Amino acid sequence: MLVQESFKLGEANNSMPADLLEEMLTLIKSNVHYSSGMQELLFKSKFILTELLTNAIKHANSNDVSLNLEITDGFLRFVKTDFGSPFTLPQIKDEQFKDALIVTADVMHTLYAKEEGGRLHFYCHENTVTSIDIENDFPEHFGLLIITKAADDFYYQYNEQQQANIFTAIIKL
Amino acid sequence: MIDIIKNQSNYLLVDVNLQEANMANASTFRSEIIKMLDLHHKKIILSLHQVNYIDSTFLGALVAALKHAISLKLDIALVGLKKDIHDLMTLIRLDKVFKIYDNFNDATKED
Repeated sequence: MLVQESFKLGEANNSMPADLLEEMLTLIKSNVHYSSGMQELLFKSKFILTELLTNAIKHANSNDVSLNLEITDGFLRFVKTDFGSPFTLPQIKDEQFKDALIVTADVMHTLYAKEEGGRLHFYCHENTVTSIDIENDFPEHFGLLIITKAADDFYYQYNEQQQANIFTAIIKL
Repeated sequence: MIDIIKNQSNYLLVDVNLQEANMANASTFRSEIIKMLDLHHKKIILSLHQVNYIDSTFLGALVAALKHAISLKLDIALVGLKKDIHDLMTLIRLDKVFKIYDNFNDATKED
């Protein structure tokens, strides 16, 4: 492990604190020697971090939110822990996505999840778009979609003992 | 939060005065721009050149505003996006629903 840092979200936050985000991005920049794809790595990291924390602020008391950043030679791992209400597992199944639960489906994307080894892994399928009816068939919620598309692996676990929601996003280097 | 920079017969050029466009200001932004569409009944060219950070909540407000514009047979075009914000919109395919231009002149060529 090259770096393992834990960050706490401060009190009374109602948005992603830009200084905290910059601190984490600087840590990544300083410790990842990945010059060819650094801009893309920072882009993905920025929006994964933003959305993990936005999700926590929306659904939990921001005082109890922590974010761990781990950097190794092979991957970056972001782990967000909060103690809000557990993530509601979707119950809709679709024949096209065997064994998967549909989280959201719209003209652009189908976001689905699969339970694997006690984790709920998120995946995204880009639908073929022929025409778009924006008024009636377009979402206004993009948080999970952004993380799922930016990360190489994104999953959720619920720790019953601690009553903790744990979201993990991984970018392979 | 949003200012009209230019009021032409067929469009408004509107500046978003935010460096951080996020859940703290998304709801107000949404109300203000919907009010502007209702009042002026013109296409809006929205400049995001000041915006350095954006989150999904604000993107949701942008989409809600676009839906309202379309319901009035109007449109919202975006200009002045920072590269990573443009890349984010491409990542989640919002570039297929918003007309996005590099600058104001390009956005008004068709008008």
